[in-house]
Amino acid sequence: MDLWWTRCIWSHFRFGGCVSDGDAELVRRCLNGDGQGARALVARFERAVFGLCYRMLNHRQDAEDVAQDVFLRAFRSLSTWDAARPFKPWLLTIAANRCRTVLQQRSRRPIPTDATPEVAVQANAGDRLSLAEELQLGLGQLREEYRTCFILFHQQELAVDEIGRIQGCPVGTVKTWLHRARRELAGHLKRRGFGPETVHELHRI
Amino acid sequence: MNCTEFERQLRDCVEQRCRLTLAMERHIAVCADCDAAWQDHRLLQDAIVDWIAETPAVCLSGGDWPSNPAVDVRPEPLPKGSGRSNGPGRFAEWQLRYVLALVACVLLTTVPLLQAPPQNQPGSARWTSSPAAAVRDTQQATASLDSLLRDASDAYLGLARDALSPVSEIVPPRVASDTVENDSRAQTPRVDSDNPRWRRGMEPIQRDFEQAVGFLVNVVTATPPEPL
Repeated sequence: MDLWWTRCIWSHFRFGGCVSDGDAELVRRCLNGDGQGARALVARFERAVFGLCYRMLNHRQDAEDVAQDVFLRAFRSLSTWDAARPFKPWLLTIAANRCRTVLQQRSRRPIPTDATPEVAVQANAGDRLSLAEELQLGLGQLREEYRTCFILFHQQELAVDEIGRIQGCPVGTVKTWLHRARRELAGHLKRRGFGPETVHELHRI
Repeated sequence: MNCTEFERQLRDCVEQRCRLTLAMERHIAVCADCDAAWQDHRLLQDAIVDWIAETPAVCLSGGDWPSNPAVDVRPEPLPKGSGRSNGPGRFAEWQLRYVLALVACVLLTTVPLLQAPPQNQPGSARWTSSPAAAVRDTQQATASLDSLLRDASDAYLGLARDALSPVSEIVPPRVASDTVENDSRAQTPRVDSDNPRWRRGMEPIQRDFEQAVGFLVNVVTATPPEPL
């Protein structure tokens, strides 16, 4: 217990207080067997974890399963979390790795009909997709590294150095991947007939 | 501001999530290419805003979880002697591994030495024989080489004699001298004058192959053999 509080205090000096007091407190309650603490921890990060999984996998049921698996794995290895580091990137690292594993398993197996990406189904119907759906469609065509980087930066609003730690690559590489992802997505939107005037029309509607 | 500077600052704006500077806005007003890049950026930003807003909500902390998740999904108990909390036990485990690895290395290096001693050390099979036996082995090897070379030279001489007569037809005769009788070449058969194939005044060449082969044998036998 003394070591725990020492690490928390040290993290304040080291990271300028970027490790949330609430995160550390919730983790400590979870390690002590507090059920309410575990529920509160899930409730705090479920949107972030599920959002990453949903955008990575582009399938709601798969994303829910993977998100639950992520929390289970996080609880199992909660004692290995370094309290001197922020909790959210650590949790998102687990989520990104799980999504990567699921995508690899999915690529090796034949795709069942109910696992077809939701946006792809709508696109095949011939209807005009919204801007967000087109973006998700283009996101599914990106390389996995570009997609993860884009989602972590724009959806999770992480900094590039945090993304570098999650992805296990230098900051310069993250910037390059992010720039290429944005460029390819902008090109995809333009090829699909979206332009500045289209955006204005959509906003007017 | 030029276009390169604008592109670099636009990337910085994206990475740092900041707004355009006044200089960038002025450059957009005069540069059509950069204005197009700025419009693409705005299009993508608008799409991202809609994309984030359409992320469905989820409630993982609701009824799908066990009644007491902290009990059911608590960190798995670490085995004794491993894990961060049991530092001394883990250290002892690694210490034991290091000792076992060290013992294995010692055994791997000493067992081959005990089983087969090196040849250059006393006690090996080579040092058990006397120097006289080694000299005798060398002489036997030299004698066998000598006999081999002699056999080869005899065979080569036979072949050369067979091929001698057609070659001699086109070779001019040597000048006769008094010492011819004593020369080894005088031992060769004389020209058959009755043979119509021989022209007048010509005689076959008399190459002394035996002398060359004998010299070769002498050189080989005189050269001390290398130690085996």
